[in-house]
Amino acid sequence: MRMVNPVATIEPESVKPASRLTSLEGIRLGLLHNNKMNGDTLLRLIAEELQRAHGVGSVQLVTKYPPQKPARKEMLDAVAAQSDAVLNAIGD
Amino acid sequence: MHRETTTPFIEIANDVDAGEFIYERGWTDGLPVVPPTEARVAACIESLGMDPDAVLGAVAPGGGLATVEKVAANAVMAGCRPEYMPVIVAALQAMMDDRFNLFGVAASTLGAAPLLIINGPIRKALDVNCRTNLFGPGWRANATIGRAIRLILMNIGHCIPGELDRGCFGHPGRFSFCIGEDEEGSPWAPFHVDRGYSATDSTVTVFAGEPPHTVDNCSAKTAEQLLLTIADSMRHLGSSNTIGQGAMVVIINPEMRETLIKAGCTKAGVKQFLYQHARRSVADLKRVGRLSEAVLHYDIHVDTGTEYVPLKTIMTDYETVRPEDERLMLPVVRAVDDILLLAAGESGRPISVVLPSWAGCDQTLAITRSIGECVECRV
Repeated sequence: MRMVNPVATIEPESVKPASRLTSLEGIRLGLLHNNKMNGDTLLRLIAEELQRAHGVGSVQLVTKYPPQKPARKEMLDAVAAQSDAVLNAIGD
Repeated sequence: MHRETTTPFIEIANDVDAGEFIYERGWTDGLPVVPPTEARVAACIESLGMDPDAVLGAVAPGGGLATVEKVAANAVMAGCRPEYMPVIVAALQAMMDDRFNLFGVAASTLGAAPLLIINGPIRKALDVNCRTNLFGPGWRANATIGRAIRLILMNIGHCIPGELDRGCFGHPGRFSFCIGEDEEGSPWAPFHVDRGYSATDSTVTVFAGEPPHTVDNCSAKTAEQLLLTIADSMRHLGSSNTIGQGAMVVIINPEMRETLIKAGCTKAGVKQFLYQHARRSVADLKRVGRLSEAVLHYDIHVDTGTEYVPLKTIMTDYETVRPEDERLMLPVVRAVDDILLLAAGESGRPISVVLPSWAGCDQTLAITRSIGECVECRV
């Protein structure tokens, strides 16, 4: 018996990785919060630890809306332009 | 589980049990399926008159490409007849509309399912059930069209339970969730006419819904009592509608419709009554901790008694219950027409069902598409 494979292929999106940082000392850290409960708490705790242990400089929290949809490109572009590194986390 | 995606055809020996083979490949919803042989799939493609390699789009959450051939293969496995294909294609296109937000609907922990509502002449042509046991078994079109959508989500959208499908409970509509409206049994305008289509059009509407909640009040003596009972069921604090004002499906059976119509209720009047009574106060929401900083971002409105204003413009504190919070009311839908009122089901008692939305009005919308209209697709 010859069957049609019902499972579809996925066209992976090609993404060029950001250049790697050699140090976290004094960097501008962006936090991208998905707007679910406690996601911001998790991000802030990690940011505080990175500041304490690795000398991270400024921290900026950005909250996306609505939480059930991907962040808009304008938001991602803005946070990328204002940060040397961005930390993303999901709470729920 | 190994799910081969690159081999277009798979051949098995005659002594291999096809049902077991398919189950082991992870192609099923857990129930037996019809093997998608080339001949069966070709018959489904032929009924559409489309190129088998035509791409209808990428299906969330995994983003697999829905070629006509893949869609047909899943329809065959679900047990569909070839003539069901235009309904499946229209429903899939509606689900891929960005406003529906299939990514969230399919993957969310809340575990909703796309409900398909079929209207127009195609219901009769395909024998779509609109009355007895509306959400239950017994009708091939309802059972297999709804099931095809689930198999497409799993096999093309890679929406696998426990992987990209993160539903905490899911619900039975995730096997199949497809109904028709009882247009002939109701003097009210059909649902798709409410949404701007002609009564002679055939349409499918997709709505990201919770399971049906039965609303029963056999001892009610008036239309008002019946409608107040429905409104009460629409406004429970655990529903996403309470803080998101998404759409809500309300379905009324023939016996209750008769009572309402005898009392002089129009369809618009029923919707308006439900809009006015299916509400919760800000005080109620605060008492159970339903309001939070996150909710203040939502595009929802409060009735202050004199006007509707965005919630975020009046909220300074989402925990302390103030006396004025008792009179600040949040309707469970954004607007009257977000109550998606349908005539369906069977008589036997005056009964109805309500289906709350998966999420708020700025996170998902019900989408209606014509069945059989020109399909814009890329090849």
